[in-house]
Amino acid sequence: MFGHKVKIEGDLLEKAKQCAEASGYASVDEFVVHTLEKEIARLMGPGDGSADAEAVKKRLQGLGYLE
Amino acid sequence: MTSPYLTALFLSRTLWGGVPMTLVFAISVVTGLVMLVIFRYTSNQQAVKLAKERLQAQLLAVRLFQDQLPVVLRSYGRILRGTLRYLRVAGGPFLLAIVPMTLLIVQLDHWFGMEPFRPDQTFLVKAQFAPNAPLDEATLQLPDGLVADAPAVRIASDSQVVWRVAPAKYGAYQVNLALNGQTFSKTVVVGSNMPRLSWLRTQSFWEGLLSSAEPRFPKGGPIESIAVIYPARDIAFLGWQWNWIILFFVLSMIAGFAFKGILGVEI
Amino acid sequence: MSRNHSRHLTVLAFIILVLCVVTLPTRSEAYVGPGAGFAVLSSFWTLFLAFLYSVYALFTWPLRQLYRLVRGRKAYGKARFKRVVILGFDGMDPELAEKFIQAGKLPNLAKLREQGTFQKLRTTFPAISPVAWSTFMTGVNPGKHNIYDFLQRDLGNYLPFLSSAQIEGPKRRLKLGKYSLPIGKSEIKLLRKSKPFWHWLGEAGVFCSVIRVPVTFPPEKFPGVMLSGMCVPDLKGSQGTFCFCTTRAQNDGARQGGVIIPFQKDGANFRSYIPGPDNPLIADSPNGAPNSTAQSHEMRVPFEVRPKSADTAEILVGSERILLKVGEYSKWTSVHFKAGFGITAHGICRFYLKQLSPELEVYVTPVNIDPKQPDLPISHPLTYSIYLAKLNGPYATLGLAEDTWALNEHALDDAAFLEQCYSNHNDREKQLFDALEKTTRGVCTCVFDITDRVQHMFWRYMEEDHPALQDAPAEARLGNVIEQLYQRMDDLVGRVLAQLDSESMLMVVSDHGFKSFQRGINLNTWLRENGYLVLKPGVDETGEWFQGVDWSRTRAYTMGLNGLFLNVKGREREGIVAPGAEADALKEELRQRLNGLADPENGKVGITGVFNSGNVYAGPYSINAPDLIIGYGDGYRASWDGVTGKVTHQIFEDNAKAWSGDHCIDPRLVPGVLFSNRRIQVEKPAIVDVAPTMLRLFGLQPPAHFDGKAWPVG
Repeated sequence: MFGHKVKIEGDLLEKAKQCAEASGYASVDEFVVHTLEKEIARLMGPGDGSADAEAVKKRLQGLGYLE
Repeated sequence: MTSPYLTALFLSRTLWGGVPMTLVFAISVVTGLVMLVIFRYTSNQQAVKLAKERLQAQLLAVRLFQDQLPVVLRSYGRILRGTLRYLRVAGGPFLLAIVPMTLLIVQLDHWFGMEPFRPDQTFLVKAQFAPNAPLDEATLQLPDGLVADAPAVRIASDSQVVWRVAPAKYGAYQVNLALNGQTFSKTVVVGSNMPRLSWLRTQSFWEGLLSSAEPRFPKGGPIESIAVIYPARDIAFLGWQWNWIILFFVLSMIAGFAFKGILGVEI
Repeated sequence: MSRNHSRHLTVLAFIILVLCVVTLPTRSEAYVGPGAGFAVLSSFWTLFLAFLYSVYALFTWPLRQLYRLVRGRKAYGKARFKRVVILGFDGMDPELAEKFIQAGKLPNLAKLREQGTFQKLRTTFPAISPVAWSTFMTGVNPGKHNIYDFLQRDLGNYLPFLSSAQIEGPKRRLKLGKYSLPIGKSEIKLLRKSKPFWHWLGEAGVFCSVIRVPVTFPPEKFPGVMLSGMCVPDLKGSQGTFCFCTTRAQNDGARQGGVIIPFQKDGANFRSYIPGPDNPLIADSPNGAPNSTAQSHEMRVPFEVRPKSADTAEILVGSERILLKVGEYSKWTSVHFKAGFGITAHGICRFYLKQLSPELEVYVTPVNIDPKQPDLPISHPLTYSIYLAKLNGPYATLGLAEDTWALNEHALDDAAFLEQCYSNHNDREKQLFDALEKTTRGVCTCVFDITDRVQHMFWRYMEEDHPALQDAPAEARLGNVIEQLYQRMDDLVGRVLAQLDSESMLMVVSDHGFKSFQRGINLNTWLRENGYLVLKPGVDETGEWFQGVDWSRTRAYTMGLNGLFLNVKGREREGIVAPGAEADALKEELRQRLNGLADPENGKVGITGVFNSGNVYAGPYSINAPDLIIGYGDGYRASWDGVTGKVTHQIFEDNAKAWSGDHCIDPRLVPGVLFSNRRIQVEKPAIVDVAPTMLRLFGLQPPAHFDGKAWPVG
């Protein structure tokens, strides 16, 4: 509910800032979150999907570009 | 631990003033509801809703654009204008209801506004005479159960005579003021329950309408009014003593606001 | 004497009652009963709140100034203009604009062209609204904001999901008999990355009002106000599900983009209902989470139609009674879906009485999130949507508020659809002009969708040979709908210009242009016919979303409007193409074979460009991009079947739908427009340049990750 904070020591944060800027992220937070997401995806694999076709259809209903 | 204490409090009627409180409560709730229904059908509900929402929008604008001073000042101006607009659309129907409401309150005041005298409580009977009426000739005839406590006090400059009377026992009495062969009567109640009381009998139509429950004296007669000042009735509620009208006002408002959502009425 | 006095106040009641109403409550007011008290208390409360807030604002003013100082925010100090206004006209086409200007139809835009700027504005790859507007606001290419289409693919099951936002119900639930109570709140995640320019400007103390810019749902916090636009769902969680109630016998209850619900006859009257969201409190799957496939727990709001005359009927819904003539819309009407335990979903919708006899037909718009009581956040701050609704009345909150599917499916006719569009547009105009009034300094940005929707749906009337006109009788064809649309937008520009002073700058931008959509191309079918996509044994044609595709033998597939994906090993769940050299070679092979693909029916080029995403995207989210971007030719687009992952036998097919114009083609063919009242001295401006330009106009240095370049503004 309130999110979770992870402490990063000064040196690492500084490097993270440099990497974030060099890679095209808008902020260091965005960089950290995305790095974690990528690593988790690598370790856990693509999984078996989070929704069924019917749920997908319902959510996309009304999107003019799709039938 | 606290239960006996609360029970004692309740029993002492400081939280809920017995039958009068129950009646005032019931009448207030019913009045609040009736007012709501009257408002529902006499007002332009759409206009009321619109006026209210525009007003709320300006309030929100003050918050949303707080750093833009010209915007905030403009919104304050609109809030004032909006308030007047709201009063215009909402006030009218309420004004219509005020006449019957005032008459209702006057009538209820005969029950809830005053207490009858107790047997040990002396009281004054004040007679207001017409100018130049012979004050010295006036005599007060008291029925069995009431006794004069002191000689009459005549205030010639005000054309007024005052008697102090002591009740001897419970009862509803007529005191008669005799003058030049004519008799002018006034009711006096000594008791402990909640009878309908009339503190004034008068010649005046408006005074009679608003303050009396007795027939008017004939116009142009030597006696303009006779008054007995009953003690005011205070009703206990939540530990305080209240005048019933204040309770009625507050409770009927609360009832109105509580039921407006259920009845779908825009106030 | 005091007791006596209190009683005499009754006498005064008549005299003072008028004064009571306009003054503060006093004891005397008690005598006039609760009525006047209601009136006075309500208005007094407002004034009291305003007073309280003034005191608060007064005392916190120094603190807020100090905060600005500490944060180093020097708002407006180096600003070129006091106020910059951006009007976004989604899909305004530069060629059409030029044509109408030449014909003298657009005097205000012509004035901008003469005295300021009119240029083509390069769009994004692909030229799709969510992609282009994301680039507009963030100043970066899609590789940095992660929006490549309306859809993104789930690598685990090859199913799509909405690329802009993800809504997930509470993870934990408490089971109580047939109820399953959610614990905690729903999680709404914005999938668009990077930061919009108003974030940077807000940080610097520049006030921004942002109205309906696409891909701003859920709203992000920033120091300004914002109303979310395209991709805000309806109350059902879809992108807009209309409801069509009819006495006509139907074969099935579904239409694209909507549902058909029969009327039940009740004497002379008819009963039906508006379908709402599923009841979130009822568990119907083993883990207690609501199951999307179950219809039984759908919440509904009943309504009744009472015919009053040959062309008039009364609609009763909730406590509302709405009298409608045939061919008339109701105003926005509140509908409440009750779930139990005091939980209610608040929506608004409009009724359209299409026909009374011989059959009764009532169209109901998708149930929009009620802006006065938003069950999901649709603005920042949350109170902004409430403020707008209280100021101007309810308005459409759905992202794609113009019901294109209702027109495609003939639930609405041309005129009714247009009326809906302009009605929404008028509300949007009111919001814009309020934002202009409120934004005395800073930035005001408002995007109008009507330009996109009307061109999509009425392009057919500009071409005699459009397949969508095949069955249309000549008398039913509307003439210059699009020309009138451009004139309306020009008129709006004129009214906005009238509000601006010499210290203001106006920009009119569109995210892309427009072209005809006469023929669809199903690339999944092409991939199958050319051996890149393989169906399971015995499967001849697939259903939606690749039902029947044999992924273990499939090397490439398309999903969405312009993306072509390889089935890469280790990336897709059943991927078979090795990343690296094999994938690169396959990409190049496909690129070469598809580029220039010709329509066998007429010889026209259906695909004018195939772009390797590695060459057009750069940034941390490029890994989520399609492997190839397909640039369809003028008159072509991805076919309706191909977009939803269907594999059929037809590669090229006619598009006979009312949705007859499109822009999801080769981005080089559909640039947007850039108009301004100032001279912008740049060759080939691009939509990616808007954000850095905005920062520069207020004296800020664009961040290093921006891809766009600030324009020199004269």
